[in-house]
Amino acid sequence: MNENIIKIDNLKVYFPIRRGIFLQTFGYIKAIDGINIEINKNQDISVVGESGSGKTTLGKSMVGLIKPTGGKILYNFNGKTFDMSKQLPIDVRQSIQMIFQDPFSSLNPRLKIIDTLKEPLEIRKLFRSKKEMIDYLGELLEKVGLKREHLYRYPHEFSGGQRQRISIVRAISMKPNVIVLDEPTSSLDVSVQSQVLNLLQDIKKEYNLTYVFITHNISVAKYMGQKIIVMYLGKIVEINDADKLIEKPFHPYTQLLLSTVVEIKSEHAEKEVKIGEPPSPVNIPSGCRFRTRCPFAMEICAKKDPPLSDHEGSLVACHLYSNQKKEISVNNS
Amino acid sequence: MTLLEIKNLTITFKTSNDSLIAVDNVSFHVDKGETVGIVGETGSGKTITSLSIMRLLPSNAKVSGEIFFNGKDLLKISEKEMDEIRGKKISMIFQEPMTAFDPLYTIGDQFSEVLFKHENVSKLEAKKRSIEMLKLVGIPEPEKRFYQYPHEYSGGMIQRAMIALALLTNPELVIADEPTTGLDVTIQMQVLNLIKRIQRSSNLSMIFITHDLGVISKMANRIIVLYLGKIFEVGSVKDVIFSSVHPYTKGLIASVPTLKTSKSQKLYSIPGNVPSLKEIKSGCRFYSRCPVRMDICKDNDPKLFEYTPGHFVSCWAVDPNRNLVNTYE
Repeated sequence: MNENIIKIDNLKVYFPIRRGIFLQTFGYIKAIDGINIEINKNQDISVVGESGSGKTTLGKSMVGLIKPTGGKILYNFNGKTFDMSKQLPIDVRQSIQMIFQDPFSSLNPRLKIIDTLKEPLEIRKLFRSKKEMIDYLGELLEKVGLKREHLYRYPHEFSGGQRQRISIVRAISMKPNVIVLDEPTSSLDVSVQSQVLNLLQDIKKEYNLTYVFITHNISVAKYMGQKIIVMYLGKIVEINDADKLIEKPFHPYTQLLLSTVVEIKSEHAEKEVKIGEPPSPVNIPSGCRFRTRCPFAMEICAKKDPPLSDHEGSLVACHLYSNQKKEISVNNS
Repeated sequence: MTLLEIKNLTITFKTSNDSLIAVDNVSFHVDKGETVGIVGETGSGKTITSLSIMRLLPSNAKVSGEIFFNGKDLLKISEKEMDEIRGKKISMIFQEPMTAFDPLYTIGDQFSEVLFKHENVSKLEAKKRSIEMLKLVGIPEPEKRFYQYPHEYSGGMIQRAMIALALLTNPELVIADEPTTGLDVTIQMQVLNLIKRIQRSSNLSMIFITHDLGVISKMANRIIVLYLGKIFEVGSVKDVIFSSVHPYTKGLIASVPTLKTSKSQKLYSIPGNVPSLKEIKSGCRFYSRCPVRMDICKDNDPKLFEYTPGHFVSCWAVDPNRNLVNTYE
């Protein structure tokens, strides 16, 4: 029942920093530095983190837009396993789709909507006649709350919410199994955001999809995902069921993120939380990456990078919960 | 004491064949030491309103009404007088600090320029005060940062520098236009706490513009809800957020997912889209999307009335005067 649809195995994505006329490599930005994720069919995953945490890079590697430096992304399609970094048959490739953050730059302004939407369908030769294809696309547009005649308009004639609906049509027109959504609502107005989120939920049920939802908004992450993955500087710091993670966050970084959510309420706590800023991904701190901002940082945190380990049903990468801490304190005393 | 009083502000934009009313008969005031929040979606006129206070609107905008600042009508004074108020008495924190700063000049140059213009200080004095201000907003090593260019600052730091710049001349009123949109949640919290702390300690008056209801409930004393250039609801945070009356305000609050929203629950969403200004005819501007619309709303524009003391609403559904309007005119 719970078959893995995507298995990410020790994924690493490094971007070289080049300088000078010969473009020598001066070092690497470690956007993703060794992560493992298993995604089951129909189990939606939300990925949260600050900018620079590598969440977008993760999404792009999942659809094969970025080649990993190390590790593998294995994708299960119709009972066969494929490596996403290799050249894949087109039907496999098209069964993982992506919806991008900025609906203003993700649609080609020179193409009519129909020209944007028909391209993948023509490549696959899925329809016998043009009329059939237009009918199909028209139907999809109506499904997301647009009109058939919108096919013949240009992107600039649409509002942000409408463009995001067009992006949704582009993604579902290939009948995918997985959709990676990279902050699809963060540039939308509040009232439009709720419309788009509801639409995404409906479509998920109808098409039997698995979502990987990337966002910086924890409330949205909880609403869209069964599981939440918290990333910090290219590593996973905590994975748990969405409800449990919100109710009882273990990692100090998850706790920090939750404490900074500004909710609608009459009394706001006045206490100043020490928040700090993430260090640059070029100079990652030794040991645990979060230790420079962590209120509980200990000696061991500078020496050893904590592995993800099970703690009360949650996977946490923190020395506060690892057994190693106890051993070391025993040794010291 | 009232610092800023806006009366019947109407802003019309002339286009080649049309004129669009972006702000329609808006009146409100800001007391000394008070933060007034303006919430609204794209096209509600919140930014246009703030630009009109600074007299920074493009030339095709026609402004009518009155904007009293310390008893002086900002729309009537000369450009020279306005120059002395803009940036000195009233300053602004912009949404995108990376584009609001000039990339070709150091932060120090841009800080000093403001002081040279308004306060006739020496170069050394300007540097001293700029560094003091950078220190106040929590920028590490301000002496070094003074000589750096905007691109050398991180996102959170440049927004703090923007706040420092707005406060440099000890203004009486600060207009913050979506100061935390686009920042990470952690940085947002820092910036909000900083603004609140400074506002308290120097008894500043503020207009805080945002589309985030959580942020506004944290920052504001009173809230104004704008929709397509009209005020729909005004009142204390308690009134507007927790006992909201207008169907638009209610809808906005209900459509935000919170940490308590369960997955199985469908989010409320206001039907339809914000219509464009061209599509507005007579009647209530929310008519096409309103869940409680009535016949009267179609042709009669509701007026703002006092629902409970200090809580104003413009909606026929609760307006006691609605029986006085003859709908068959």
